[in-house]
Amino acid sequence: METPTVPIPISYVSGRYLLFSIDAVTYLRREHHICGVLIGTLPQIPQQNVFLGLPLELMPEEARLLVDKGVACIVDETKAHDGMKSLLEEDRRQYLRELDSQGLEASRKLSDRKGQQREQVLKKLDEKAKAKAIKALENEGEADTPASPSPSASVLDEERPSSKASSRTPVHTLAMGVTPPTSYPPLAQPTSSQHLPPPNVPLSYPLFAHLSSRGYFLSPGLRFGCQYVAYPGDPLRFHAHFLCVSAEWDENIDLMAIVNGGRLGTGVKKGFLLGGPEKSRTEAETEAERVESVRTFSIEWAGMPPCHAVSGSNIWSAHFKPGESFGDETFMTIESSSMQIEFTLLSWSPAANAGKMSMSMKERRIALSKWSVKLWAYSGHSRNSTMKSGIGKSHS
Amino acid sequence: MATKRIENPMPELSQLNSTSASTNPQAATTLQVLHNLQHQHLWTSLQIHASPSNSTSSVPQESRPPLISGIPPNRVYTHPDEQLYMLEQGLREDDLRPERLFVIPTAQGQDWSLRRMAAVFDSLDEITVAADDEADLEKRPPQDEKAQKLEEYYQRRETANATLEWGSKRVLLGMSNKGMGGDGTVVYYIVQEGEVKPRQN
Amino acid sequence: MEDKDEDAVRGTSVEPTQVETDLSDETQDFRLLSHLNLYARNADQGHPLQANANTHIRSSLTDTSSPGLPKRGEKDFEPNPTEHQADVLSKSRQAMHDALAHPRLHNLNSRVIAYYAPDGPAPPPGIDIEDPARFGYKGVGVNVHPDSCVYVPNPKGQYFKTTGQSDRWNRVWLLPEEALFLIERGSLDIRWPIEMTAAPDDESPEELSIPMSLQAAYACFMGRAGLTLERYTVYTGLKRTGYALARAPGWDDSAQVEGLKDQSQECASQRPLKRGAGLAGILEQIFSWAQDPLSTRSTAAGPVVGCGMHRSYNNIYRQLAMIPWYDPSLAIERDPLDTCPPFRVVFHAYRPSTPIKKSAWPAPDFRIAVVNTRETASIPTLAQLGALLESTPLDPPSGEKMKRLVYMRLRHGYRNVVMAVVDQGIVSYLRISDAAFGKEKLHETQSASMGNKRNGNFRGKKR
Repeated sequence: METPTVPIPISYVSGRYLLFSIDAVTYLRREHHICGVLIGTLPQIPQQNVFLGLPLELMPEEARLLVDKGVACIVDETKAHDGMKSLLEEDRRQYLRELDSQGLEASRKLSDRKGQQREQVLKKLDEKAKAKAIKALENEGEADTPASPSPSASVLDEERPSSKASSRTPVHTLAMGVTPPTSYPPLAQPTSSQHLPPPNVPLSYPLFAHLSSRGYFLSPGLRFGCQYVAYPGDPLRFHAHFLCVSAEWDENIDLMAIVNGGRLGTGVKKGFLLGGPEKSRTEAETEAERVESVRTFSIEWAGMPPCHAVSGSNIWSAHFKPGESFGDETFMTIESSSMQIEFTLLSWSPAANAGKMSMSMKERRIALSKWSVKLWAYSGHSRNSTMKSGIGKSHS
Repeated sequence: MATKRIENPMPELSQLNSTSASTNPQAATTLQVLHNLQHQHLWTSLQIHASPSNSTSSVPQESRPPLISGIPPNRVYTHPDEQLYMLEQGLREDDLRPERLFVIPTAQGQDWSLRRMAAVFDSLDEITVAADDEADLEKRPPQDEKAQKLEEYYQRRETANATLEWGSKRVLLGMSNKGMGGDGTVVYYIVQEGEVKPRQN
Repeated sequence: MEDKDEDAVRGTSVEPTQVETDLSDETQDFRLLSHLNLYARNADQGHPLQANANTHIRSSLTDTSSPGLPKRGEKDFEPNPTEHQADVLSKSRQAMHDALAHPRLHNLNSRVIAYYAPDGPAPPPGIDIEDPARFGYKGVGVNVHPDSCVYVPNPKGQYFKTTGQSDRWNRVWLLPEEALFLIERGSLDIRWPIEMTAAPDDESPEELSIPMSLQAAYACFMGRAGLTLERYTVYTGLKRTGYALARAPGWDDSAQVEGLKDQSQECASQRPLKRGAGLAGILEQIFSWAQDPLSTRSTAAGPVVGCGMHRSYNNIYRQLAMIPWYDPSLAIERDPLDTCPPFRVVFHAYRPSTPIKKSAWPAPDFRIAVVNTRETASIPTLAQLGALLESTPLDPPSGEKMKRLVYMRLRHGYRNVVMAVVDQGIVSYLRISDAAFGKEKLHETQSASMGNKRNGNFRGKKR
């Protein structure tokens, strides 16, 4: 792992921000908590989606943060590659020689590896012969040596037809072809005057930058139905703490969104974090000023279990639900605890007895096939009203 | 600072109801949430605090909801680090004295914004809670060893509150269901200012 | 009921649904991969090597253990100041570094060389075509896509079975996404065009053509002819797991149906949709009325189910069904271009088992629309979604299982489309289908099984 020279060039390709240098990726992750998302295929295991490789896609927010910190710059990669047309003859040959020596190195490595493996297989066979004699002791030794190298070798062979061939040919003479990850060299790094301006960022940038400054690692939120997922440490090793959603200070927030977020977070053992800058873009001159004004709120489902104590008033509030209000009268629906819906219309006129909430509920008997509910109600304070229920156990 | 004390919430509420509930939807929501806290969750010492009027906050008075406060029968929230500390000390939640918690009554479909949320948190300091029976509620001092541990705990909590180690100012957001006429459900969410790591249970 | 819910969440929290999450769901610990890594350095002995272009190749080798995909890694809740945690983290990062540093190598015997053609398909130099129009684009070949930009003079290997199109000189032309994917997975050695980089005095230009880097390939192919990074991410994600993909007619966002071109820029979905039972439905109503002279159906004159002879419940249920419902099987089919991008099919995908003939692609197994969350922040409107579904052919539920299980029928629907939603490199696939609830007369299938509630659960698990 090498520390790359700063500012690190971020490739701007077709409107997106990409990194192709492994050293840059490792450095930004370690020092600046910028993870991005790996979107490329790993050549060693190209048939799966669990582990992905370069390039690394950066959110515009990530690229902006790095540029604002002076750690990175934006390079128009398409334009930069026009430089291939004007490559000097000398540089071109130099580059090809360099690739050649890399290719040679690679084939040497592979053949060494083959040799090593062959040795190991032989050694193992030897051990196995001994093993018959001293089986008990051998168990430990077996565990030490890597388990069966041969199947893994065959996997590699599949991915890389080359290894099979290399065992036949004298590898030292043949350099392998190499596809390098980046074009620098042969291209020369663009000068600062050629850098693009800092990326445009969405309104949620201040929240992003705020959380990043607090040491959180952030990743795009689609997996969890939010804007950003915030990790307390490197996502390689830590679970996320927050599902984050940004809002402008006066942006209307549907309370249902808070409930959804809280519920979503609780389901995956994460908090829901709502936040945003106090200053709007018209009020602040720079994004940095907005970042300074961010306030956040952590939201978790309270999960208060209803109390099970049986009291008249308790049942009252648990099972009555106010219906539509028509003028002075409110119609109420009673719902039994077992989801079977029973209808009763009750009139409730708050203004009937000035100053006092009065309830004129007639005693009603509701008889349904398997149920009987008796309702008793008194005029006056509702806390005095009792509801006796002859509700039998639900048959289901 | 207008703080309504509720000895016996119902008469008080009926008053509130008759004067405002029929015209002011916020009052009706407050009532409903209070009702739910009292009867479904068995909270005690419930109070309604009108939103502070002199506040420097930029939120217009009429769009600031009143707050409810009360004492829940069981602890509603314990910060994970606090929980760890209690575990180490051998303390249970039941050992602690009950604490007053603030609740923002809201209803589904209400306009809400970060500005309003911030205003609520800013107003928490301005609210004075009428001296209540919290002291009475304090449990009889248990055996000495525990009392000492509790004392240590309270001291620890004081420092933790200052450093925000155990979370920050917190309120409960109570939201009543108003969709399709409403079914009386009230859901509660713990809201804390800043990034407070989630509980793991 | 509420109590149960709350208990479920408060109680033994980790539900199976969480445990079963897809491995690709979260960042994985690359240490799990190191045993597959040819060039991995043993983390214990590792200290940074001197870096130059050769770094990765000079790294020492560790050996391999059992192959196969690793299991999900264990993660911690939060950082703590222990040595152990720091150690594990640095090993994970080293493993990631090693995995990503793995070079793309091409053995001389098996490597496939391709050339970048910035100006698109063209005949080999020096060949003049008399009547180019007869042989597709620029006379290169009828099957060669005009957007192709890389050609393989000597195609060999398995990759060209479903990728690329041959021209008249047996060269295979690749679309930008196809070329990019092959170079990315280390299967193709793409060269800069010789005439672009080679100096004129070169004695053998073939030998001296410059290999394209991965970065160069992205810079040159991305953004070409409608290829966005999001579409490419979806393409590679599916290719990696074995699907074959082809561009759908809706690839070009600006493409419109011929006849509609004059109708300004108005989106298909903004025009009112004609929906409902249609003529057939009306006729059916008339017939059923004619067959039932004792009909009590006049709601104006009395109850829906009035007095009269009621011989079966089914009859009564039928009369009670007075709410009109939408029958997707009767919806008019739309031209795929008569939709509103990005809610438009851009890829046709084929299961690995589907036999593919490149010259005549079969009907796709899946139709995929690609949506970028940063450009389309909200979910599609019903009109947009309706248009998208109607642009796919009718695909009614069929098969023994569907016949039996009503939930499976509902879930399968009558038309379906896959929406790939891409958020900064992370893809979520949503299958959207046009369900026909009205067609499932529960009163008629009372005795039939509703489907296994545990396995074929129609609703997601309630949480």
